Amino acid sequence: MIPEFHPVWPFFIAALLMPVTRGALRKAVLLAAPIIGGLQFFGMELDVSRHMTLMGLELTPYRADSLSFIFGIAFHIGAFLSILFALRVRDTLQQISGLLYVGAALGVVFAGDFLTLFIQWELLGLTSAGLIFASRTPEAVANGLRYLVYQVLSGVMLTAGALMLWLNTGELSFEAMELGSAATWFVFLAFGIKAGFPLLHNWIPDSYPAGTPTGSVFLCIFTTKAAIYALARGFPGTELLIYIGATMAFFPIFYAIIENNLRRVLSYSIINQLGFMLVGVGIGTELALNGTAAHAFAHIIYKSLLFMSMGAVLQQAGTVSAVRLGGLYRRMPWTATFCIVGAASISAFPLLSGFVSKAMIMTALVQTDHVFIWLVMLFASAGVLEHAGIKIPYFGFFSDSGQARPESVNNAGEAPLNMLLAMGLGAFLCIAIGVWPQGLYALLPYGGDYWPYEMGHVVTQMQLLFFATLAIVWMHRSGRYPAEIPSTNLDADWLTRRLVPAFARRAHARMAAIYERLGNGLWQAGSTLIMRSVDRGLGRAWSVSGMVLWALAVFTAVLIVGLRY
Amino acid sequence: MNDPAHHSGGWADNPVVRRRIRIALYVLCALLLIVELFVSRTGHNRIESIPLMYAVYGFGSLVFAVVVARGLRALVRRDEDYYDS
Repeated sequence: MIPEFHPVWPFFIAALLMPVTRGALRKAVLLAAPIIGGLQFFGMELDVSRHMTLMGLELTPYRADSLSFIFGIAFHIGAFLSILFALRVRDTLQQISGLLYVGAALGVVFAGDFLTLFIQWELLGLTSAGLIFASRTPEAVANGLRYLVYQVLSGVMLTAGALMLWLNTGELSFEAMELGSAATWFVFLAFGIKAGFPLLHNWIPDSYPAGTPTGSVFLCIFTTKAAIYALARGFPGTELLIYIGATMAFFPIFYAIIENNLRRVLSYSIINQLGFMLVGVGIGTELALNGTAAHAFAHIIYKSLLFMSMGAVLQQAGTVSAVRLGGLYRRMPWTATFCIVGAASISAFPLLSGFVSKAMIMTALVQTDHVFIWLVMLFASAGVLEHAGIKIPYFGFFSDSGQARPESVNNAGEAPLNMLLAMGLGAFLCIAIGVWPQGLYALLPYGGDYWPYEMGHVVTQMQLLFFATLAIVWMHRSGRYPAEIPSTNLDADWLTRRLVPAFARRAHARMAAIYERLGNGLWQAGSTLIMRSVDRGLGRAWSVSGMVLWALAVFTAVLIVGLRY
Repeated sequence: MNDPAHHSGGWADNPVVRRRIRIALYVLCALLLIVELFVSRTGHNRIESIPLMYAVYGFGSLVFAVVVARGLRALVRRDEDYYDS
């Protein structure tokens, strides 16, 4: 019998042990963390809280109920898969980052008050950046810094919101809220940044393709799903989330079609999937919230499986650029097979995990008469098939673009055993959940009966998917399907990396002219300094001082607004 | 490693196999349309009970998605090193 402990500890302790262990022992410690942590979920007592008092504040660092339970299990499965996949990595930075990151995600899921939540929320952002920095290229460093700006901004907004809530009510406990006050809006948007709300989403397709081949597997699991948990906990039934979710399910489809970097395609696909989960939170009925939890659970497995397959391709073949890949199915047959299972799962083919989870959200939409949103999500379902279901496996393994392929692709070998085991386990779970959905449904947070395998539903879903496939085949063969082209596709990042700096530059020129007339030399020196950093920082990929400066400015502004209340 | 014969050696590069896969898809699509006639549909809303709705919508969705994506590409495509310059 394992003594009771907070779920973060196995991961934090394992992280502490990394510098003092080596070789096989280190691998054993890495694998032990999710196993020991996971065992706790058998017979876990629910609706239990642990309280403590810190400087007069009543804190709840541990609150276990049915919602934290299912996310906790999903996170342990995700942690085990990504640790197994990364087992041969010899990089202490990545191992410590990964372990702390998983621990922080569990800290979020079991936090019962805003102070605990804030600490874990910030830790989630800071530790995960290590998995991007670990690529150790100048681009990755710039990427990691841009990533951190979003993460820190989210943390600052959470602080502001929580502080205002505390000053207004004297309460720090993290329970369901309603949008209305400035405080709840701050909390909502703080969660929204990490959940990839439209216009705040850009850090996902920007940084996830920049992580190490194994690091991005960690990244794709925890941050966004911790945010989904936080929104499901804090804002269930908030109608606005239905529209936000539908937008998120909708627009990434077009970006995914024209994107050439396959890990970026998967990143856009994450936003699309988060959209489904947010629609569930927005509807807020028991079936819908169960659907969100189930979809997050299934998504964690199939999305990490897809990121693992592309990570394996990146490691073995040296690229995930669609125009450079081709014919890898012969050199990496197992990876290709597992990738296809993941791709079919995310596309929600019957007998696979995506089908049994997404169906709940779609049914909830129909039940609550959201006909238009239902049609949008049906379109989004067909779109998933295109970019994640067909594009990823096809361009990853089967395409023959006729262009010269690099030697690294032509000579790539199958992924090592630990990677194959992790992918195989992921693929097994995708099938197991699809074939035996009772197992997943037993973990769901709220009551109610649901059964996805109704004949009419199966047939209509197959029609949707196979006729969508037919459309792709037709467009591909008739040359209507857009060719793969390596490019930068402008997204919301253009606002922060081009528009804002350009605007600031013009404003500065105007101001400088005015002040020059006034002869204020000191002002000019100061503002020139700031402008130079803005210019260098936000504008370019080489963004260091400017980024930090911007984050600091926003930090201060938000805190001032926050404290005024 | 770069000779064309080497690349076209795998089963999935064989035109016959590719054609068979396509034919299987066509047959499956046709079967799904036939099966629909025999399945009692418990449509929850009006749109769901329109015959062939899912087949048409699935096909139409992808055509729409690709058309819009081509337009989007014309609008947002830049050089790969756009942000580095």
